[in-house]
Amino acid sequence: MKKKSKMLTLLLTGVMVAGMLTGCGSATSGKSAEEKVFNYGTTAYGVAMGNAGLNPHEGYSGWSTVRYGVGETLFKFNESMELEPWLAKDYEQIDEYTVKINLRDDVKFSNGKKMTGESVKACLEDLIAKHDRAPKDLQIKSITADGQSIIIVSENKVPGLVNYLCDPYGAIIDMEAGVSADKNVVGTGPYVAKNVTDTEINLTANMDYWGGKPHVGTVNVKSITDGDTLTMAMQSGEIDATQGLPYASLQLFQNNDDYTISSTNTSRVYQACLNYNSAVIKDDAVRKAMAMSMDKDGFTSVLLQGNGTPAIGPFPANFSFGGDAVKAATYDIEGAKKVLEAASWIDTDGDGIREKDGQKLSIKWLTYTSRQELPLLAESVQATYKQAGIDVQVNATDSYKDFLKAGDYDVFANAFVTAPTGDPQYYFTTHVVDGSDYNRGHYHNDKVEQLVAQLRTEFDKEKRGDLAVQIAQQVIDDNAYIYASHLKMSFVMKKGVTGFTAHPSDYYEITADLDINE
Amino acid sequence: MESTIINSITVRVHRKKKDCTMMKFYVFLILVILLLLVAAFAPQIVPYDPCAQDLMNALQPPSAEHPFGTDRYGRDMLSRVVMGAQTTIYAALLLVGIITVFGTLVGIFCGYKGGKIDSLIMRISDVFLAFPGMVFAIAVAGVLGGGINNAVVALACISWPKFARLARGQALSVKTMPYIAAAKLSGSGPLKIVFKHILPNITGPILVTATLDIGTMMMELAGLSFLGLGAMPPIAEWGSMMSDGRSMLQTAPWVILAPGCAIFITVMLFNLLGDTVRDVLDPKTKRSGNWRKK
Repeated sequence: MKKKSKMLTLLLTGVMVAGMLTGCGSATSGKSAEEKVFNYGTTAYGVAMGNAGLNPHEGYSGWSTVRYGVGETLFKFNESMELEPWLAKDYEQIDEYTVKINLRDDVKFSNGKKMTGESVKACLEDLIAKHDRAPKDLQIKSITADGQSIIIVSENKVPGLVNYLCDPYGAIIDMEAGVSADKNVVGTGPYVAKNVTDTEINLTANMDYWGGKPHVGTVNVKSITDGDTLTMAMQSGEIDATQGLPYASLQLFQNNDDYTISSTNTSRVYQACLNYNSAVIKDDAVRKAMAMSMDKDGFTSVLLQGNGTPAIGPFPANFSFGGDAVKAATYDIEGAKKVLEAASWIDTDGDGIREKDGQKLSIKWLTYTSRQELPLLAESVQATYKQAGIDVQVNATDSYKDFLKAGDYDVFANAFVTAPTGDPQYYFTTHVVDGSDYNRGHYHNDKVEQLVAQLRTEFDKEKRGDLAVQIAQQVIDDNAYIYASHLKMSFVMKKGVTGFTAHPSDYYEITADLDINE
Repeated sequence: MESTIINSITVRVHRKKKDCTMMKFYVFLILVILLLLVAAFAPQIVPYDPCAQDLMNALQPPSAEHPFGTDRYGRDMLSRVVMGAQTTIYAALLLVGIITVFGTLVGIFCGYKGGKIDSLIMRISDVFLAFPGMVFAIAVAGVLGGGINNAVVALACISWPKFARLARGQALSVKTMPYIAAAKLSGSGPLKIVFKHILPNITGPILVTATLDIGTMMMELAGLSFLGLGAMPPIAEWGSMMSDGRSMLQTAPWVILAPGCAIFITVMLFNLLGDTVRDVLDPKTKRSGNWRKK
């Protein structure tokens, strides 16, 4: 009896140990596509980023539509930021005002409906009726649908029309299905959103996707805005991949066999916009000294820990009109001091800060914290500007829009994707011309106005590049903007995750190529 | 005979206890004074300029040159912790000073005066006490904007009712004492009664609460700074330094450990001092002392 119970105990223990070992084994090995689950944590989704929800016709939500594989645009960018057809087959520029776009014949929305010229027309018409930026960019006068083609007639010459259609706001959605109360839409992408909130999107694979079956059945996109929480979620295995890790944490995953990192240079620039409405900033010498006192190399190599490249102008070096095609002032504190002295900014009371006509050389530096690099830039310039005798009062707040509205700033530092359409016009028409949306410095230069007007109507790619260089150079010469650095974006993922690659446009994240192999 | 022996033993035990308490009090007082001196002379004793950046020396681990290491801007952590002592400790002392004086005056006024005004002010203090303290402070600091002064104002707004209630309670009980009646009979005015007879007799518990509150206020100030609503860069303040170093806990732990330990040690020291002050001023201990004198 005793022997029997001993045997039974041993057997039970054996079974339990075997069970435990089975539990420790790979959970996903041999899983079918439907069973695979991909949890993705990102800092780039949510209300603070202006892209909550999936309705591309609202603010920046189109970025979420395209990033998370729900919607697709007519054309897309390749790794070199060149145009490629996506939902469209090709296009013809009929005349300077008219473009004919031929659509693919095999594309279906995720609800099974075929994408036709009519459905694309309905989507684009809704876009220009509702979106804030699209009507100004596209300047569409009329759209005509003819089978699997559409003809777009513009109000004015819009040489970058097809590029603009690659902006995520151009994601094609089924307007008959419309937009649900939770801001969900029916797109053509490899994934369908089942649940959309301001902090999470739950997606399931669209097994009838026109571009082939997705390899992962379920994708959960979680907004985790705190960098440390994101780091720990990645380390604990709660998420399989992430984007937006603090630079200090990135090194935990580098040279670590358990993780893979995909990095790319982007056209996202950290820039300081100088407010011409401020009496101090109006002084040419002050702006010049500020440009000379920014330690871009130190900021990029130490504070960004090499995750970027020092910027000269608005565009990075991978564009013909970017990189060193323009020239800017180099970091030279002594030179800046001389410039200020020549303009009669002298420190008379010995507190290290210069004065002129009883006014202290003190500037209010407005920025926000949701891009972790911006407070670092602010503190970096605070130290270097002080050496030149300029006092910097940093105001890093996420209610920066109130301060912008009130005009209560001398400098506004932000992050901006300067060439989202692979073309320079977008940046100039939004930042440097009179009345443009993001000209927060109230900058005006007749020559710039004239050159941008030329750029708006120039179709020749080479000439557009030349014009872009001239405009950027003029803006830099006027020190209207100071460009600090271009961001290098990194995705960190568990070993075994494939098809998840950082793209220079920052538009494409979850695609049908995504897979998890254990 | 037996009771005399017991009495003399009790006297000796009390004396020993009292001596020990006084000894502790002096030790903690000296340590706190030392801390205050360090804070007062921080600009003179720091080895490096606490705001001077040296990106080439960023995130250096502790060494002979930089005993607490350097932060991501290459600033010496020891210098920043010492300078941070000035900001943090003086802000906390200022805050406790404001709430103690204001709260006590309001409390005594209400306790002495009584009636409708008392009810009204106490209901107002109830309203303040009904809010979750830190949440309310965050809201006030958010409205006023960042900055250590605004953080002090925000915390003062939520913390004064505690002292008002304490002072009111004490004033109410002292008010009924025969010596107050005697003072009234001898023709003393209300101001004289409040400041000469009531205030000195309620100082003990208020002083104890104030001393114990220094640590709490320091933590709350550090908390606001940690959330970005306190000290603004490049001012060295322990809470904001911890917030800055948060993302480097795994890669450069000294950046967060140095200000963290500073907060821990300082708050502990002020709390221990507060406890000892309470022991020293404890009526029971006093009574035993008086009894001994008899």
